[in-house]
Amino acid sequence: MSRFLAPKHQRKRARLKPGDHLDNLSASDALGPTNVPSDPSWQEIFENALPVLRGFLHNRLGQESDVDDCLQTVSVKMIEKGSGVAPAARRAWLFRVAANESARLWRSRAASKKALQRYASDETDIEFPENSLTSDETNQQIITALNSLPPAWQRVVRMRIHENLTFQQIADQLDIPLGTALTQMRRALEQMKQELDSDAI
Amino acid sequence: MSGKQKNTAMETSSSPDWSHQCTLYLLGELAGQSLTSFEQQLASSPELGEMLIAQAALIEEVSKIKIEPSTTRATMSGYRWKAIATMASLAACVAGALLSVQFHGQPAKPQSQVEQIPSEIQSGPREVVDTSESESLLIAKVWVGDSGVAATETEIFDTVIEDALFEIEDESEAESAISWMTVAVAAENALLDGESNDG
Repeated sequence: MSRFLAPKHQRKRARLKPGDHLDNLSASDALGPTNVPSDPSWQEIFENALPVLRGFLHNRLGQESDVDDCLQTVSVKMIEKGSGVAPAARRAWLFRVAANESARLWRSRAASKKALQRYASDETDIEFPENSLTSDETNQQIITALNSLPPAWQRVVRMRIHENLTFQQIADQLDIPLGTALTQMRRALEQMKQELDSDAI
Repeated sequence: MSGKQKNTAMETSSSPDWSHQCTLYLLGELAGQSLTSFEQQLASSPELGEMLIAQAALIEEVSKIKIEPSTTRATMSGYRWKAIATMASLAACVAGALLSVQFHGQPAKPQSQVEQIPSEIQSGPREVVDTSESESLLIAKVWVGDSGVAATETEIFDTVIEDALFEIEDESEAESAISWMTVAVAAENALLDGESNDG
């Protein structure tokens, strides 16, 4: 088993039997009976995201056993750190952690092969920091990018991500068409991404 | 996957719509056919997977920003209060304008003591309240003891005089209100002159 997986005592709780696939398990099975997060929406989110997470990891890792290991680690991290994640960003967080874990696994595999080691060092550049490891500087950049948006776009972003309202609820509250709320969110994220990319350069 | 298929997937996944689909999926707002096609596309396109991760990173970073919990709601209620205040101001302005038009549109009534006569008195004998001049003359006659004035009329005018004097507050009003005395004195003098001429 890879050293990048969770500590042994944590892994035991979510240990899969040989031949099991997470596709066939509920989130509570995957997490272990005593470690289901208190917030039921975490469980729901994980269950809903599982097929897509699996497909995403399969594209990255190729081998089914690696995918299982990765999903196991993601579930353990969800238990350990998930409580601090905003409800609206939980699915995003799952995919981000899965991406990081797959990158780590890649590095682990590459460490044994010189040719892949070079590739693995390149992979480091695309790794995203997890959970609260974001630097103050990045936070400030995000705040600046958010504040530079038109007020209407800012409002939609805040209501969707920070207040966890659905787009329909936002449209109802602001008395705007649903399409407008969606467009404002899309443009807001696009503009923020452009600003952050330009800052990174 | 063949090269041609891969290119097609790349072209499709790099379109802006897929980026938005990633956002909707990550926020849990993709359902039905859209969700199915997105999942199928994601399974066959590593590029879409990278796009999904980039979008996930952005959403998660934004979610970490500490904002005032009630900022949006406060802003909303602020907007509502502003709107309500504006509407109330407008309504007040319109109401004021309408009242003003109605008030100025009415024909001006002559300012006289008749206006101060209670309505039940005003509806009495018309000759009493026809003009301020006749009223003054009648009052004068009563004052000088003209027997030609009916008892009821004298009673009415007693009330009128009392009311008028009671309501006088301004000195100028008082001067105009006692003008009947001047008329009465003049009438009495005229009577006396007549008697002396007769005599």
